[in-house]
Amino acid sequence: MHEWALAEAIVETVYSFLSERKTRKIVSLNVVIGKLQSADREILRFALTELFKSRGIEVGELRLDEEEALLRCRSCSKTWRLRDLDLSDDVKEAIHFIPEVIHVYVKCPNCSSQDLEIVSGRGIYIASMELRS
Amino acid sequence: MNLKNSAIIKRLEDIERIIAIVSGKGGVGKTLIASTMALTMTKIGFPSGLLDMDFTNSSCHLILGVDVLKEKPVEDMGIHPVKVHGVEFMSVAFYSRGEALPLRGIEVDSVFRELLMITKWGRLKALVVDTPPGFGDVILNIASYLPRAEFIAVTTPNLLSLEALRRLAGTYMKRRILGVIVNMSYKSIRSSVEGMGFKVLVEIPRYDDLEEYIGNVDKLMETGFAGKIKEAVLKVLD
Repeated sequence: MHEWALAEAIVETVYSFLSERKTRKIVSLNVVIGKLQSADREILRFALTELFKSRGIEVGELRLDEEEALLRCRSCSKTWRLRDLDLSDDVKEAIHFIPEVIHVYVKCPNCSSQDLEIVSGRGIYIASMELRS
Repeated sequence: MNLKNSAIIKRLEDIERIIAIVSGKGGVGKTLIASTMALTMTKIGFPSGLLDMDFTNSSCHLILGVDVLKEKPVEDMGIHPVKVHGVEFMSVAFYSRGEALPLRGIEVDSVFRELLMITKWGRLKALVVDTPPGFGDVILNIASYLPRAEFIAVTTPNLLSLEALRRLAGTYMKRRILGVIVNMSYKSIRSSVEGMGFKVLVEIPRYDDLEEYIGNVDKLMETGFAGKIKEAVLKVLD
């Protein structure tokens, strides 16, 4: 479960952030999952809950949102969404681990360039975190 | 909020030493040296890993004879490297099918973080890192985000390669350079290298038949080249 490794990275980041502020309590935490990483939401939620608990961190509300993958061609500026693409399962899995390998498998539908920018939906990040004052 | 460097550092905490093989100039043999070093360390009882950080043009798997279409890292609470002749091996090539991966700087940074964040190396004596030539994103990331990382510089007696080494001596990375491997040596440049303030780990002569052993680890480890790498490894681990 690659989701566990991602969850560990989030928990470690939060832990170090909270340590600097000498607290272990979070009112709400919003984690965004980019579509390119296609992490399993439920596994991620379970992993986060367990890992926060093991680190002694109390999280009031844990929100996991998905973000559409938006690509833009740096050559011709065409912008499109990943859901428009027909990718095989093994390619999706490769992108799931390392989103940047999309440059191998996806070309601009307009000009065939591989110089693409992942505008949104790349990976996992913490969108917001509210601490108890 | 970006996932922090502390997450990466924690992931690497069971690795005793991180040694990056660097050079300002391409074509000096970094990949062969990095791969042979990891194999040698493991063979002499120092379980080691090999991480190919030449993301856009990975080739350690070719030296190790790994078919990236057939062999894949196992997913279990993270990604576990592929074991090759005892070496824990990780490369983006497993996910790019060994094809060219055109990346800009910011994307190199993302791959760097992702790969280090998801790979579960386990307990290692050393992690050898192969890097792309020059002083770009990967080298800067290693220098800045992995404070424990040490460097081994590679040069040849070629004037342009030596000039790249002189430039490296002028960077803030100099104090973390364990020593220099002089590869494809047709004349000794020990005094020039030492004059730059570097220790020479080994001078390796040019072996014209090395190409024949690419992809054949057993044969590679029997070569004079591997013997020379062992000399360097023993100095580094001393």
